[in-house]
Amino acid sequence: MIKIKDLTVSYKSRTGKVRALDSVNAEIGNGEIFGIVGESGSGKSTMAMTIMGLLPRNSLIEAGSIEVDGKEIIGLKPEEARKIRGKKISLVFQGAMNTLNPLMKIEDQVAEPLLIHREAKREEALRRARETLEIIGLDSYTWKKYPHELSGGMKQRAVIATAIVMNPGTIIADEPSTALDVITQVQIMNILRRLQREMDITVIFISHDFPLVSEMADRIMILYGGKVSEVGSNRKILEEPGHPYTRGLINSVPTMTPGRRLEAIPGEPVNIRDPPEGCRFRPRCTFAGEGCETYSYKPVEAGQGHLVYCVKYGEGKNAGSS
Amino acid sequence: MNDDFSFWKEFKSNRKGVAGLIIVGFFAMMALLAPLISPYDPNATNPSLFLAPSSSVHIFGTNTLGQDLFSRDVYGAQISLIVGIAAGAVAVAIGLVAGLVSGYMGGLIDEIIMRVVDFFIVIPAIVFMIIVAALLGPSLINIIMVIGLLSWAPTARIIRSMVLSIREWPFVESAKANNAGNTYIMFRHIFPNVTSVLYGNAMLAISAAIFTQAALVFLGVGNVTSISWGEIIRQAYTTGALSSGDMLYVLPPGIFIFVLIFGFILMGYALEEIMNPRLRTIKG
Repeated sequence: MIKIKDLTVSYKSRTGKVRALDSVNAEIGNGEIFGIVGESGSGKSTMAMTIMGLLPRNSLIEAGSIEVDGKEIIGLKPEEARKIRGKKISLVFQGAMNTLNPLMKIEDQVAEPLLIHREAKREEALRRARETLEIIGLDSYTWKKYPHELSGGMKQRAVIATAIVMNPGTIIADEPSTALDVITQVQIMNILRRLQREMDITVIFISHDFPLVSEMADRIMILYGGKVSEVGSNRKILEEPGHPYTRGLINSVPTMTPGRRLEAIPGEPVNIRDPPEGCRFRPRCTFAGEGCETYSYKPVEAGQGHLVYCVKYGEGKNAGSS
Repeated sequence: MNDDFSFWKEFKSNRKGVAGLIIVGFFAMMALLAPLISPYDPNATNPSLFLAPSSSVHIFGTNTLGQDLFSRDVYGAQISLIVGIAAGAVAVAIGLVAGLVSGYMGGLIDEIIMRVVDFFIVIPAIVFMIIVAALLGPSLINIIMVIGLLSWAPTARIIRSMVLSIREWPFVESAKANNAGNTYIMFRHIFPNVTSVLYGNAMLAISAAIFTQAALVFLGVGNVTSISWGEIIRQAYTTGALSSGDMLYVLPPGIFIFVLIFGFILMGYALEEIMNPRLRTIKG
């Protein structure tokens, strides 16, 4: 169980402070697939980095807390953080890039976390690494290969293996399928789903690809400009989207229906250096009006844990055609 | 497929590398087998043979003490190789660690190390070495340390520049996510990725050290009692053999120094080409 409360993270830049995440709340239950969707600059990767303690030097956690199984992890001493980072929660990187060291054999890279955490001696670590590689669908043929000898999908599998070799309760997959072709994407998604089902791993799935997340996730959180705009179960969000932005996302997914024009969300993504007052989606929203400028991001309950961060939704005034 | 890339196979098909290896191998044999090759004890003096000219018994003639110059030239290879390789190794080792730390840690540490590097690059090395060597005394170890400790700066700079780009690669972040410490990341992840430059650089450092050692001895710094090529040239100069045109006194050690350095440089180029595929030429 991961509880994120009022998390506010900013980056210092020459032009001033930029808030990448602004009072974000989330609860991620054990064994679920939690999807985080947002466009670039929405703060989705910052969230992953904050949980992992990997924020760059110019960043600052201004407020908030992250509890993992009831234990606060912000501000932990390094030796305490070691027990969580990589061990309880681990990160699946994009495999297409140089996430694997080009000069290390696959099995050595997968065994590495075990050695770093002194969980096992080399022999034992290699044995466990190979087991993990097999679970993930990479057979002995690949164990002694270098990353450049593998295909993109195989590399992504190896990256997942590195993340789960320590048997973490939670993995955060940050855009794990980017730069892979759709067939390989499906395979990777199936692996993640299998891990969740068979090994009871909580998967935090981060992507800009809304259809993909809605395929995968049990619950979805939609971020916009560093703020949550909607959280809820997959089905509720797809069937009764409460936020105009969510509706825009759903409508902008291409379908096979002939003659249907693809709807795009008007305007441009929010500039988080200088966000608008009140609701950040306001400048692009067709329902914007009174109250939006002063909106304080007080969530509106839509039942079954479905929260919509929109004043107009509370007033019942944002429904209808979008 | 795994054995597709064999270092030795690559090296053998690289002409520069083979030429360099033959040259260095030649001098290595000369140094190792010196007692067998040289016809005389290089230190045995013979007052009756004062600056004897070249003859069938003393092919390069003798020096003022009547010592056989050919034997001394053969023995000279020992010092050059020992000092060259040892000082080169010291310089590369220090340069490697300094470059890794500087590039990876960044910030104030980087700033300090790089200003020290600037200092060593700006200061005329030979002058500095003469002073330090004079203070330390002329033993072999001291000369190795002086050359090594004062010539690591270029290596540090090259390594740093590579580390600056490698540390941004995702696998470094991935290692951090797995909780790897800084030292671990530097040596396990970044170091293997800079070795391509390191080997070539080591060869250059060795050749520079060989030259510096000869230059220092020529200037009278270091152990002038041991036999080395620089020392033979210095004697030729001080006894006037150089000005009187006794070419067989001066040229052989001079050519040996030049050729040995050239051999190491060739090997350096070859290693760089092999380790960095972008430099590899298409064999026609």
